Amino acid sequence: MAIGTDFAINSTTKVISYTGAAHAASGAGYYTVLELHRWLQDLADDAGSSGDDYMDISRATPSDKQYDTIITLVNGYTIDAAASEHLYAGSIIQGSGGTEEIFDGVQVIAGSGAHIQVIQNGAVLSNDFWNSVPFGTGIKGLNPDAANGIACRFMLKVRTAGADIDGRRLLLQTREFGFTYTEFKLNGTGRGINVAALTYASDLNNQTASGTVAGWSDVTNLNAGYIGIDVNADSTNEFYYSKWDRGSRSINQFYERMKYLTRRGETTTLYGLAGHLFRGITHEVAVTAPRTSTIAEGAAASWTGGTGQVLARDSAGTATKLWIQLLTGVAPTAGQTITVGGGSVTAGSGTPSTERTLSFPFCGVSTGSAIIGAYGFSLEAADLSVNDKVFDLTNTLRNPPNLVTFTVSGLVSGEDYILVGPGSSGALLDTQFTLNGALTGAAVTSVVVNEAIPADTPTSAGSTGSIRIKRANGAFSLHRYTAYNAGTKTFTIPSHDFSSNNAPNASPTFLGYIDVLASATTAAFQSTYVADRELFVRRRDGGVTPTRTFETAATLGVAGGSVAVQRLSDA
Amino acid sequence: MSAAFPWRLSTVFTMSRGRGASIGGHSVGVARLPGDSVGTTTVTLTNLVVGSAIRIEVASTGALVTSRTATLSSEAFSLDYYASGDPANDLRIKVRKASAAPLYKPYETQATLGAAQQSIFIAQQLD
Repeated sequence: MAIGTDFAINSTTKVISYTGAAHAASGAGYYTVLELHRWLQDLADDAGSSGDDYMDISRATPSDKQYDTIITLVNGYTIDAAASEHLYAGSIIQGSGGTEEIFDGVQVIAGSGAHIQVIQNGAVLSNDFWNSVPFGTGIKGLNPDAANGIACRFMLKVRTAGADIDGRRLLLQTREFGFTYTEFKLNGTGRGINVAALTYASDLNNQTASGTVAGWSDVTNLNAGYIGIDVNADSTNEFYYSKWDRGSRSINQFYERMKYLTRRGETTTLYGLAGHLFRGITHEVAVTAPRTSTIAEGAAASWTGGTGQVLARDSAGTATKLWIQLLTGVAPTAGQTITVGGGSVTAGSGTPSTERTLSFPFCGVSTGSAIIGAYGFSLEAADLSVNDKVFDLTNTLRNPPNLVTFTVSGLVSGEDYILVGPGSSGALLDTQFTLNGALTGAAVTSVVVNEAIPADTPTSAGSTGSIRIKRANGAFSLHRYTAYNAGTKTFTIPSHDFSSNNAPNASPTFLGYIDVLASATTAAFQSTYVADRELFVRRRDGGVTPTRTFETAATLGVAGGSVAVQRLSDA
Repeated sequence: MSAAFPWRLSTVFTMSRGRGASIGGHSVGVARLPGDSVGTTTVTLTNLVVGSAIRIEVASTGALVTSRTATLSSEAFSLDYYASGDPANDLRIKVRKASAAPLYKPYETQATLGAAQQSIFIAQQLD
């Protein structure tokens, strides 16, 4: 289709408008800005005008070309919005002073058919004409060039009424469920063609149907804001801006759910932002006094030259750090007042804003069986495993401990008593610890030992573990410790009377990792793997159908361990 | 235009403005109007790209004076000129070639007509 049949020039208003078929309709025309210029110039050297193209040599020059990709409409000629949607491969500049408008060219390098979202001035552009499917192609994207990896080409207005729209910043992203998520920032478009490189490839870790993932509502964020979590189990919290509970879902299913919550078109909010706008923390901002009121999380923030959303702050009333997602403009600079809801804080001195690297999707990357978390993002500690990696708000890598399970199977419930204790050379190591001080009180709750408590000691005995303490009569009494302090080498036990048959100083003491009458066919304990640990397993049943004692050595290894007991009749 | 003389029934028809006529011993002078040309001059456009459309118009009004398509690199135009200060002497000369390759940027210049002939160099640039 010739351009002249698709465009008309109004002789009065000098508006160059598109009159051809609509997007996706048969015959819809798309032309480069150079073609527009050539057409206008072709008309402009005619002796007289004809049809709806009011242009000839008697009229002022309509356009000027600096480069093939930069066309300036002059002498009052302009294109309208519809016309701009049918032009590409360059920029159109029109008007001047307070009426100046600029349409800049955008060229997206991505897989064919990519659906591109454009965020301008903090909002997703709803008129995404560039995602139209050209008639007869069946593939999204206007003006593609698949041979050169170009998904689509179009123009966007970046300056209106003589003022740049958000500094001519554009954010292009792909967020198609089932495909990789990516984004590309154009921090101030230039005249001509602005290239945005995105990826649009199938995500092998995101193959569950979206309708299925939609139902995974047991994945919840337990804390949308600053939260301490002891991911690495060192008894000291690290701080994050989320604490997700993956419910009954695997870590990869959790990843898929995160993608679902931020997929294209998702308007359910995260931290006060529609899901498809949510990107995670873009900046960490040091703040100081003066402060007014308190700073809310998940609230909009503004300052001279920019806006954002507060995802976390380290204190509501005396915040020293804000973690924000920048929405428009630039991050706060020194001394600026940052208004958040009814409160405000002041950006610190020097360079208060530190840009943080984003991940796509916002939760991080899935390996299929583990997650490499984004900056500041975490799940609750219990939902992480040894292969997961998360980065706290100091951008420090935190590795969850390797929680391993040791299982004893082949038990008979109600008959077999099972003891799994520390082993040494195939025997029970009942001298794992020695008491630091005799236990003689009538209500003892603390047991102090001389040796270091190993890091792989279960945090509590629960109902199946124990600490065994050798008493004066030579027997080892069972105590289900509820906690221990590795620093003070102290176990906390339920109150026990040691006033008679006490436990002398330096009495042998050891852990019973499993120390219980079987209540099922299996018994197990879980601990943090540090290094291989030799265990000693003993099973006894001296009841009405007695069996011979079963003893064996075992190892708690990097993947845990197991033992299947034998039951030989001792009748 | 005509003039009647009551003392002697006669009529004078002007042949052209500004010229005198003598009829029956009477001399009659007819003054030119301000908008009347005072002569003809030649304006030659040189260095034209053959095939360029040329339009010469009054700068202040855009009224067409003459137009043609250049068939040679030099085109001469015989144009009326007017009394000094008449805006009709101020012309805009448009030269465009954008329909067939090679294509050129629109070129515009201005000229003020007078008795002297003028040669105007046209510096078209490839577009």
